Amino acid sequence: MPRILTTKRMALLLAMVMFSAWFPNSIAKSEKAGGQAELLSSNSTFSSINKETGLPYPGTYTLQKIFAVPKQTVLDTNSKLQPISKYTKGKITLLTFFYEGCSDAKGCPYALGVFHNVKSSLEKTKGMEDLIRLVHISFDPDRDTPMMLKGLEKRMLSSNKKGIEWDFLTTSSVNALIPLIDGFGQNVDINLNPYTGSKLLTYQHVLKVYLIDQDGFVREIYSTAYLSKEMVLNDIKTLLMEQNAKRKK
Amino acid sequence: MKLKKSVLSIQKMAKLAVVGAGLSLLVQIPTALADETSCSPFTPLVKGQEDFVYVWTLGVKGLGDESDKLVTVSVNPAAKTYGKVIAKVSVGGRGEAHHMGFTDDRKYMWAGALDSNKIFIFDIATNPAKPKLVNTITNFVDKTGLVGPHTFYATPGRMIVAALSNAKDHGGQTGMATYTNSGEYVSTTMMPTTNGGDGFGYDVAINPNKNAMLTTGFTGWNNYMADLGKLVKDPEAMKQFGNHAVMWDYKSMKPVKVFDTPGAPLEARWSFKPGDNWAVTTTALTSKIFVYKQDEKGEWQQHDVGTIGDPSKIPLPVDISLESSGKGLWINTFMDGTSRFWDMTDPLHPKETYTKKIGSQVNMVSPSFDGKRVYYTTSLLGNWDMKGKANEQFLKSYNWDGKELKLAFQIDFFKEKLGRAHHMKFQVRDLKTLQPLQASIDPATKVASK
Repeated sequence: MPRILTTKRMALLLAMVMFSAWFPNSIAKSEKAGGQAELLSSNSTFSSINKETGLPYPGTYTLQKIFAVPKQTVLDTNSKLQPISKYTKGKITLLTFFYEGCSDAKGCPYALGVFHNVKSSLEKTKGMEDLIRLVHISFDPDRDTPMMLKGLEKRMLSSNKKGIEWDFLTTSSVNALIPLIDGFGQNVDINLNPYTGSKLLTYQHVLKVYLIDQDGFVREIYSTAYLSKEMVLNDIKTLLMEQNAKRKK
Repeated sequence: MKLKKSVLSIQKMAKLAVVGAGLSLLVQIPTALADETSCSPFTPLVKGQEDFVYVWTLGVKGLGDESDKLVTVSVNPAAKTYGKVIAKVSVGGRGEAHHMGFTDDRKYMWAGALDSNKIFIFDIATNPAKPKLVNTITNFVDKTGLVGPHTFYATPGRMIVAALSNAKDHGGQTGMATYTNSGEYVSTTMMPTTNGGDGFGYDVAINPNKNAMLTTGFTGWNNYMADLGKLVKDPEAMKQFGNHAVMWDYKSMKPVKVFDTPGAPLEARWSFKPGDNWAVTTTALTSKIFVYKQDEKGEWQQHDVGTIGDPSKIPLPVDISLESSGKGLWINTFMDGTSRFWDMTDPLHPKETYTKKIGSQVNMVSPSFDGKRVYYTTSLLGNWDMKGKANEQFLKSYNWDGKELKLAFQIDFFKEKLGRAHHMKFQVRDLKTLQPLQASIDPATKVASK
């Protein structure tokens, strides 16, 4: 156990050094930002915004501790029941719910695209694979079976198998799904055929993407109107900096 | 108490033909971002005909059950119950019912009481025609130190509750609390008291595309619970009104810039017309219109763009609502009971183009998404409403053709023994018809091919 911690700590420190390359002189910039930011920088309660992105500099803000990930189980791609904590603790986790058949351009496919871009950016820095993971959990346990998700996982990871962990998970049934999405506050409407009672192919929902810290607390929730690669990367870096500061204490 | 949720609803579709319509809805991309009675941009909108208007109503001693209540009015002209009250949920007691706000999925509505500090959460999805009270938050003061939960503004998975006052001195210094959708307290953010800030609060409006949040400032419990006639004669009390608006970095919940906005800036509204980058507020005591716009350097600037009525007579501008096009702004002035339409085509040079007297007093205005229907209610605050015969309390619905407001129906809230009609929110019978506000897609994002 101590060996693992040491390895992780080293990876974290290395990653912190490497990570700063994405945001050159970001902290220094926040202190030197011109105009209004400079005027207000003496007061720590005021924000310093990167005028290029419109976002605050990483590490200059604290993400709220919104809620703890619910204690539920999921099915992995080998059809094994696993505690969800296996996928939400120990690393910073970017998680969303989806269904493979979703055709809403600004829903699941949009989130998938952002996840891809976040993954690609993270993989430019060595050591990130020890610190961050991505997770997709299906709304549709009937169609998105472990076998199907295994295929999807294979396709998604084809570009870099040794890169950032990306888990595709499902549940054993709708009854197992309900408490899970309930715990996350993720709504979904399942439409039924009024004549046969069978489920239709659509799972209408408001897209939510959850950023979870290594202790399993949801620290940010994004929706379509509020989800971009830059914002997610900034928030991940903020959590890494918080994590590092905590370990130094 | 944790809100019992039922987040997964199994909904039957009426006909197989609807299946196709449902699928097309899912891939439909809204082309306009809009205000629909000032909802949070994180909340899906009613872009067609609304079926119900919910009216958060103040109970009146000696009238009906005397309690604050949520009143549901049928407003779809196709309904047999059109223009009638079809449901009411009393919350037990009077606590100065005031404003409401939807959660980010529009399945629950939070409604606040400025005196009791209670927050009532209604399920408006299981049966939108008959809302059900499912939770009451009673720890607002204990958890936050704030008093007067005013604005309820949905953010992803959470609710920002902007307050008017504080528990220490019941003055105007206050802040914003964040709760989860299930009613669990998360954090408190105080309004700035440095760099020119006076610490007062009132409304919140977020523009996620700009990572910007605008807040305004009104007055504390000592004033908003006082009798208006006595208050205006108290010079010291009249100094206790907000004189600033604040632009925030929404991501960090930190202020970016404090503006001098004298005279109690109230409602804050963003134009969500694609390409627009401005917000607007009006001041209650000085009758001014202020617009907030980014300059060429990307810095937020405040512009004094207009005067409402004759400020010397204190017409008291209250609620405002931007049309979904961003081209028109309804402004109500409470003291003369008048609604005013301002052409905002050029937001820095707006013009008043139409006025209509709605009643002896008028407070809230809520236009439909297409702007064709405009609803009005009357109550401002229990102790600020007019006295005697001038204290009309109603919901009035008008049709608007761009030139004239024509009365469609009205409900006398005193005659119906309901109370003082305050905040309005719309809902539809079929929540599948709601359409989300969507920000621009991250240009760097390339959707992975399957």
